[in-house]
Amino acid sequence: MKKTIIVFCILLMTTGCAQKRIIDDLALINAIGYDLSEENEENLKVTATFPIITKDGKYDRKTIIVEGKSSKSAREKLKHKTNMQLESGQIRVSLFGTELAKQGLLTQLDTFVRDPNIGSRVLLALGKPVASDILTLQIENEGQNATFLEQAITKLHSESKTINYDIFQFLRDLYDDGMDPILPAYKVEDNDLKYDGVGLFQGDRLIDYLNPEDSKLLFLFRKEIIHGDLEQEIELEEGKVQQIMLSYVQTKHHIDVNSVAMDNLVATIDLEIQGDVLEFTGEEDLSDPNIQMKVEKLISDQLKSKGNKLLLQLQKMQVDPIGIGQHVRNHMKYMRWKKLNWYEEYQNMEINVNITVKFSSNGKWK
Amino acid sequence: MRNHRNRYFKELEKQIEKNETTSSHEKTARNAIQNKQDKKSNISEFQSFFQNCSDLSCTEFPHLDIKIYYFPYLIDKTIYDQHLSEIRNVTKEEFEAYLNQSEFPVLQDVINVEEAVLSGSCILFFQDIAYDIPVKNGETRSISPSETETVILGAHDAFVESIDVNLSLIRRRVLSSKLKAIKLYVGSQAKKVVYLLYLEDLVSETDIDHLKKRISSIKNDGIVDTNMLVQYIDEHPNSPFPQFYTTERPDVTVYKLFDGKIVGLLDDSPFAFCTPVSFFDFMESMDDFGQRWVVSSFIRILRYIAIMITLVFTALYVSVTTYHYEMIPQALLPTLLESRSRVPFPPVIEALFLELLLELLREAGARLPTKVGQTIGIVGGIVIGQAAVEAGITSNILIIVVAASAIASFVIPSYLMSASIRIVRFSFIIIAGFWGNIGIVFGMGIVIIHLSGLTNLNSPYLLPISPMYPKFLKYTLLRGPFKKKLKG
Repeated sequence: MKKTIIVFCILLMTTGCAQKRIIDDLALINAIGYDLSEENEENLKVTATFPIITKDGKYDRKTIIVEGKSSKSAREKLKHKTNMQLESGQIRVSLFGTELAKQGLLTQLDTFVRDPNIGSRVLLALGKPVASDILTLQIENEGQNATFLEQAITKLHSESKTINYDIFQFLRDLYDDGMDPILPAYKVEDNDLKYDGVGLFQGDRLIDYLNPEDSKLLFLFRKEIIHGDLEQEIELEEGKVQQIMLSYVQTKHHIDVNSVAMDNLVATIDLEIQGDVLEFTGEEDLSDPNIQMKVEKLISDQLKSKGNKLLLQLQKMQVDPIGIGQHVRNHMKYMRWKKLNWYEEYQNMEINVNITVKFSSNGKWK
Repeated sequence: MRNHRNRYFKELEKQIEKNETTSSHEKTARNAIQNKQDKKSNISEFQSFFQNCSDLSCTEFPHLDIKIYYFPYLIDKTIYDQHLSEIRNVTKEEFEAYLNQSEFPVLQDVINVEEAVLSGSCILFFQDIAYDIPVKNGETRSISPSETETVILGAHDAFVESIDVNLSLIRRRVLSSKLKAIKLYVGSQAKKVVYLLYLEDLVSETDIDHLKKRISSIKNDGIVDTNMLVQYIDEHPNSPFPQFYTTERPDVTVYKLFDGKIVGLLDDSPFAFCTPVSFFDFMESMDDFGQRWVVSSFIRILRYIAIMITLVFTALYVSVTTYHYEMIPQALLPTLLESRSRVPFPPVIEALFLELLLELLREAGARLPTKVGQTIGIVGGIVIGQAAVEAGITSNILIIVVAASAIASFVIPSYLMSASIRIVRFSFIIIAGFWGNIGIVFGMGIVIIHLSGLTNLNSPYLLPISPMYPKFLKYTLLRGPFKKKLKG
């Protein structure tokens, strides 16, 4: 017994103590932003913000900006600018500036994936035009920018369901053949943070932004996002514009690819949504089946034309956030898909949209 | 490990046998001395035994040539007076005749005389023959509700300090001749009565023999309570965990009897011990059986959660704030940082300090009279609750953590087990301060290995879990529904 105890003690004692990281001595970065440096093109501008406790015991934040060749070398410099031990295990949000994102995010994401302290649930977002603007912005009475961003992105996620704007989802979309990732974009407006659509990626490179209205339509086409709100202007009678708002549920989402002809790919997106009318400014009685059908038809047609326009836009940009490529891939042999110059093909292919809108209820009215 | 344990048992048994042989040696030696002294008068020897015992009273009747020795406070005065009034007006011859046909036993051995007078008899010396006149006084504390194990649903009586009353409380509940009682003695000088109770057919004879050997091998005097006695007879004296279940409730005792356990009663102790028991017996309360089974199953689960909280909650605080800041939720970070920022000590010291303070408070409260105890509560509440935080000695969150683990420790029904677990908690805090979460996991491993290595009358301590008997799990971890025995 004595021997066992001695051996056990030696085993424990010789392992040495772990490095102590007592939380009040740590600078826990909760948001980090990456931009291209304005002075030197090769350099990276890293903005880090972390909570501190001020002298009078208040919870506050500190934001540091440094420049460096890589993100870890920038972190070395960050260390010199604070009296506390810098730790990245509490990073919640990572922001990327537009210019940097256009060069590709993969080099930056590498450190996030490698560092075991950082989880794969760190949220990603784009800063318009630069990330440091967003992180250095001091919003009155709002506290931490990181918390604000985290909550805002999580809210966006919960509104649109299933799409996570985190590292995991980004990398999944990135490495999935025939699917391009998207990230939400934020900008500073009137000394406040504002959601400003989504950024469209081709691979890991940012191509362009979609405004919030168009991104809503994009979400409608993505399969994972089955909930949402739609706002439409309809004209039941000539010259009489009315507003209608729907809260919808996707009941059918089907992408069909016809690839019989080698060089003529045709994709059809079949969509069926059921919605509750939340607002209608017209005087017509929606409970009348004739009017209801008329309105449904109007909305469907409008959505269809809008959708076609959006798809053309996406095709022109050569980005595929809807994941049509996946369906194309599934409809052909792997060798053929390998040979296919997908983005070129995508640009030229025909994509049809069929949307059916149905009202499931007219709201509480009547 | 197992070989080692077997060796331990063998050694223990050898020791017990040795003790027995020595005790029999002692007896023969004693008898030899007595035979020699038989020529000397019994009475003078008796007097030499009780030299300097000025509380021994002696009443003399010179006309009858009798001496009566007794301890005035051990006897019943009224019965004694009755006997005395009979004696007063008789002649010597009449008295001799009376004694010869009376029911008073003659005590041959002077040792027996000593025992008799100490247990509350009057010793009447007539012509150098000692007669035992039983006038024992049954003065004991009256039966009152249990203080240490309170229940809401269930019987409220508790054992008292008299073994006769305690036996009566048990006999009254078990109306069967199957209930056997073995009388044993512990100690060498001042012998104490121990009763081993069991229900025939439910208990193995080897277990009883084993226990009998162990108890009668105890030669120590001054065992004043059952909780002391069990520490002389348990198999792992260095373990922090209690191995014999002690209770002061007769209903629990009877329940254990019907459960196939051996129950021990020690004279002058209001506690009974039960064996063999497992760790899970310490998690039971008599209330469980009064409640609906769903309710009491929930309460049992609550107790296991409480054990976990008591053991690792403070340790987890220490390890998270010292090593694993990644585990802190975003929303908790501001408050944690704010309250920690003013504390000058590392979390281990902070936690140990507060735990120590709480233990001091608890110990002070336990030893003080109830009325002063309230003051301690108020002082402790203010000092720990507010002043410590304001003075920057501890953080708010730690206070909540420590309070939660203290409350959780009181959820454990057995006082013995709750105290043991509180002690083990301290080692968890220290190990968390050195090695963080890995330390806690290590500590849990050691505790579980230790617990599964414990035995109780050769029955494993973690019985339905290790070795595993899945059928019994619902009656130990949960309180499964009663099975109805149907007629026919």
